[in-house]
Amino acid sequence: MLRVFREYMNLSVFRFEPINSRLQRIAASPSRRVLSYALAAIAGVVCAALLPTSRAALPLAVGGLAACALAVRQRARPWERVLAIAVAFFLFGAARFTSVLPSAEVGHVLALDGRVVTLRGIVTTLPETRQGSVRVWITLDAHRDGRSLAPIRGVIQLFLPLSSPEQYGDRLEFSCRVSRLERPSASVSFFAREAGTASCASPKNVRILARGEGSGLLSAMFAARTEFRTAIDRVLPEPHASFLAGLLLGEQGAIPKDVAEAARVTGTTHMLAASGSNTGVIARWLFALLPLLLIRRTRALWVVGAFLAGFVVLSGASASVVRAAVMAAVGLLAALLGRPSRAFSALALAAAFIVFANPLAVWDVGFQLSVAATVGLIVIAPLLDASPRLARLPEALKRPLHDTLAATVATLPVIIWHFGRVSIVSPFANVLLVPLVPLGMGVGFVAASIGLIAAPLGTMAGFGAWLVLSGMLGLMQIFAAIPGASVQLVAPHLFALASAVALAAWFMRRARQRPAHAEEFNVSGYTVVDETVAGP
Amino acid sequence: MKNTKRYTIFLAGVVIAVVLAPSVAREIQGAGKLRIYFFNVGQGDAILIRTPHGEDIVIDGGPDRTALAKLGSTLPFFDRDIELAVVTHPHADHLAGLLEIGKRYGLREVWESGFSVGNDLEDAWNEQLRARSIAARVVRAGEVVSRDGVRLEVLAPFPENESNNPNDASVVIRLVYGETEVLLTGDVTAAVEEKLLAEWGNGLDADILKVGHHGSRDGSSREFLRAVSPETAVISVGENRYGHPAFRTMKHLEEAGATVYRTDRDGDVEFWSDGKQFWKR
Repeated sequence: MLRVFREYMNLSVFRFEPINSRLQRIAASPSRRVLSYALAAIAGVVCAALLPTSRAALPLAVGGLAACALAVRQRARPWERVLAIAVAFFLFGAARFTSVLPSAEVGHVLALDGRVVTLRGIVTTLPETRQGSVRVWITLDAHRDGRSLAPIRGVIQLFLPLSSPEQYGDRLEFSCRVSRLERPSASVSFFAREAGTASCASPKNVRILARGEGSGLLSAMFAARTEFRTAIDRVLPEPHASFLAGLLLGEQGAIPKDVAEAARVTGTTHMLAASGSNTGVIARWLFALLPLLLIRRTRALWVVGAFLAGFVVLSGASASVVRAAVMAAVGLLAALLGRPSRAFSALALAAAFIVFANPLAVWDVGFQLSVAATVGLIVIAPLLDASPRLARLPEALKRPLHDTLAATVATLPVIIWHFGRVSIVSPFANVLLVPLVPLGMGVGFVAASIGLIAAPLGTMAGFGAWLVLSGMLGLMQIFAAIPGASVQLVAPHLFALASAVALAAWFMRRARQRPAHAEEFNVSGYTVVDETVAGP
Repeated sequence: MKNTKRYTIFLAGVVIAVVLAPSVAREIQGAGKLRIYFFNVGQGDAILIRTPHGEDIVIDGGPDRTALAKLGSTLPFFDRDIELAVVTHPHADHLAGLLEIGKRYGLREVWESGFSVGNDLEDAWNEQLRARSIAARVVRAGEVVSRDGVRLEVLAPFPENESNNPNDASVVIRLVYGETEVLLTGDVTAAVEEKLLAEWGNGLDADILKVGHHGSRDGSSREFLRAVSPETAVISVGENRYGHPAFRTMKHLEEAGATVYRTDRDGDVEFWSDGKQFWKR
């Protein structure tokens, strides 16, 4: 059987390189092996996310058996072993995904779907201020059944009125109608034990039974975040404060509707999604500035690492910011490693780590945009750099233009899939706005930091940030006001897939025209990452 | 890298100049004039009045944080004080946004109707006032206050208000600047309109009317509109399940010959007055 398979794979009628010789090349290189395992694990999570468990069971079982057969076979060739391990990683990814999904069994809140019940639980997230409400996630532990309390499991989101006193670590009792979330949420925490699967829109009789039942470390982080957020609010008026909180902390709920709409129309929502690129931009700036303070590169790397850790603390370790920080750290490491192919491996490893920590991240738009944009920067930007047609542009324009275009193109399928429309003005809006992102983030961060120490000084510093952010907001609104700025698509998912396939085909064609492209990029890996100011 | 930085700084300069120039020009033009903004905050009321020398009066704050962004986009950067905030009545679509405004802006003076509905929102509002040592002033029909050349006549609530409906306890203000007037009616219904007619008669006359209760069918009677005789009527309304604004109200406004602006269709509605006439910006 295996011999038939092997011969089949070796048939020269295949236009592409036979798969087994590809696998042999992978087996020969440790870095390629790691890359393959990382990708296999991600693929496992994605497959489990896309297929219902019952439908996924058969291919998973077959895959598992095949892997076992290959692994236990004596005199297995190296590539066969690689394939077996990759299949194992794939299965592991799928298993990890299903581990966070609860079933609607007795004793779980989903078993109460549609019923009005009284529940008890602990606030496990920092309350997130939205336009007209505050959202918290509650880890449930009890359900009031008549006069007695019955144990219950599950994580539920609660929408409370603005200015509600509830905080992280509060034990609450509330009554509400439980409704199942269409899609489990990835935003509860970076490391997920269980997904948030239920929702409660208008809870009644909310009572705080006890306070301070959360972890001390998280409480301290959330306190830091709240202080920082308050400092932003102190130094800047709205909508600038929310906009800056979006840029810096990935907080999207508080952004006014008209600004969010303008961002959607102009294809610049990614700036507010705490995608890795925003954080990466600040890290890269810092890394570039530290040598000026006579700090050596290796030490500078540690300083930037500490900065990223501090940034995570400041954000209250919100899932999206931790993801962004991991991506930024990997981006920086990849830059130091040198070649784009290594940058790609680093990206795959980071993505695998993030997806392992919380498999629901594969559904998180911010994370998807991060990955797509980084892929764009690694593989598309160098192609644009090499394009003779674009070479005539002035040098100063080239880098931001290429990076932005690469990221914009790479994120297009993701944007179409989620937002169902294509922004015609997007490339223009992005080329003008994205270079301003690090400036806005930098001056905003400095102003808020000063505001933490001395409010009046912070307000003075805030004026600079306000000017830059006003410019960005104004520009966004000018682009959004252009008639036909964005086009609503009839079948967005189809368009998204078609654009992804077209993009991949275009890349394959270009890459084949330039054999062994990975090593031949005329831009070194360092430059690719070091000079990118682009978002996804 | 160096060139890229230069490009960024150059771009920032150009963008700031181009985007900010119109608002700076607007601020210079508007100085010395009365400016009134009916913000589009969805289903709720949020009105900003800027007096000729830049005092800020906010009447209600809408149902959520939207008014906060509207204020931030309208007021100059360093202006973080609201000289007078009026809570017409303590319903969420009028008070919730004001609570958020109070967190970010200094409230120098607060007017209230004195009617309490006793909900969490009201508690949070009172707690905020207490924390900032602001004593809210309960106003009654007949009080007149002048600020920066602008006269604020309180036409309601009446001291003997017996209705249990918080809407009917709304603070009604007629604002007079030179020869121009605006009538701001909160959420009053026809019952209070009758009282207003009986008490103030022709004293209700105004160029601009903020239509009561988001254009609901329980207000804006023909008689009332005849007495107010507005040239312009503004309905502060958003998506809602109450059928606001009502067909009947729209018909009455049409009969009264008023030009109607709706925040849900027209967005923010802004008027300027030089003391002789109002014009829409």
